[in-house]
Amino acid sequence: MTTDTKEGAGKAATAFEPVIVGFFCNWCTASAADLAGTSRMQYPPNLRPVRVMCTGSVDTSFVLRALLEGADGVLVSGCHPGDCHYVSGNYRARRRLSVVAKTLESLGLEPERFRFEWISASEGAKFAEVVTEFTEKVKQLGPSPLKEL
Amino acid sequence: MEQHHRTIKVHAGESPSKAAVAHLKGLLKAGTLEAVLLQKATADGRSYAHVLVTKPEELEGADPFAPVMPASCATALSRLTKLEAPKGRVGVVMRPCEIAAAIELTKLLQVRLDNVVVIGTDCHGTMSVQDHIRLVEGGKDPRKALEGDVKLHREACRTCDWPEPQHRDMLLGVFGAAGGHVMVVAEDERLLAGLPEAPREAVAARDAMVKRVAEERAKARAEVFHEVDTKLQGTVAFGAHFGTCIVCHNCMDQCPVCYCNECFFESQTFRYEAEKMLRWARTKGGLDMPTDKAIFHLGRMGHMVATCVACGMCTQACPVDINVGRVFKYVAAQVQPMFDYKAGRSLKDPLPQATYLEDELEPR
Repeated sequence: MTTDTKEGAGKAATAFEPVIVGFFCNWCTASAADLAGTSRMQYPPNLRPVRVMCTGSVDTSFVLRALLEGADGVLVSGCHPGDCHYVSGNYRARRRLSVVAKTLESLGLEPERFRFEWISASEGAKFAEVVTEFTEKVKQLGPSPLKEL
Repeated sequence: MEQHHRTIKVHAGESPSKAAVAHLKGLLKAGTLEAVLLQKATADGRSYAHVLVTKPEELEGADPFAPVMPASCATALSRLTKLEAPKGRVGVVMRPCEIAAAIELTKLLQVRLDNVVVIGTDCHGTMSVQDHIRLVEGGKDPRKALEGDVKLHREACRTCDWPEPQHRDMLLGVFGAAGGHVMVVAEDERLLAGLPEAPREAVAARDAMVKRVAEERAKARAEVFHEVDTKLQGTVAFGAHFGTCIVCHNCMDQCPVCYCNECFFESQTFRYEAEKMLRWARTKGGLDMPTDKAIFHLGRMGHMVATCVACGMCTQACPVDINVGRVFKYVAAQVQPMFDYKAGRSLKDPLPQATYLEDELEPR
């Protein structure tokens, strides 16, 4: 995974395939991923999805762990406001994960490698779109220096 | 209720500490307080330690204005009150940052303030334990050295957010008094024990000094923040700053608001098979041992920075001299405003991670 980082910048830009770790809520985004798949929508294969019961169960250290141990980007996605299966898990996740985002931003640790989205079970198209767009963005950012820490 | 301003005169050859202790002795004797929790000089005179005192004579050598802060009194207060509130009234002498931590711990259900009389002190700042020991062993007076040299102050003190103690039941004030008196402010007449009224000029002098101290510290804070903002950015700088970390977790142990009995970072999650570590060693080009330095510090920020009171106990506790507090304080100053929160400001503001608003932050 990290061998790319040792290559020349120009070469890495063309050959670099980022690793994106996704934490997806069981009740919405994980289903949206299935829907995108069964609807044969195309999105980059860089994604490593992890199904969680709720974004509210995603600890700040999950995001950090992924970034520090090899992911070039982390995508967390859950139910739209008001739709949480556990009433307020997504709101709590938003508070908790914005602390991590702000921490990374404050210390110049590439906060753009972290993204939080709302994608409902019916939004297969949005899922494919977000994954495509985020993967492209991380590709442009290049290999993450965070995994060297 | 009205706050009464009184003074204790400091007699020639006496110190404000001694005068304040005499007042506390009186409160113990009169039964106004059942016990006092405060700092007392250690037997060898090299430092200070917190002690819970019930007998007036045991207050000998105690110092509400100790120039050194080896541990936060909020930690001691949590130990004292977590399981049950004391039956009698206990006076707890705390600096402003220690009160701030006690406020956070109260909201985290780690401190009970029932029957606790918070005795807040004006804090000139403290030096590191190491500096204190060095000065004592060199035959110097640490307190005098502290007054004359702002560089001797711990960075957390130089850049302190808390110019005066909030949420106190009683103030022991030394600001603006030039060692001539100790101002005692309280609502409860019993705590004032018939002390004479403070002259209006003394009150004004204290207010002026609080303002001046706040300004000086805000300036120093801005300078330190600028330093982080410009120099401590990116993975290389972060790696260098924490490079000497031995992952001993002392910073977490001594952090007053880091309260979990079983810390996630000390759990089995962070124990791995040799093969796993060898794989990391291969992909990372060498694996720092012990592992998980970066995730410990960044993860701890994720867990507690919203309640960080910037007391700098993390830096004080670090055996390899990493300025942990500088980073935590800076990040806390960015994170807390997101929730319109200031750790230690109020018992009423809910903990950021215990609540939410429907319409806030990103994504909406």
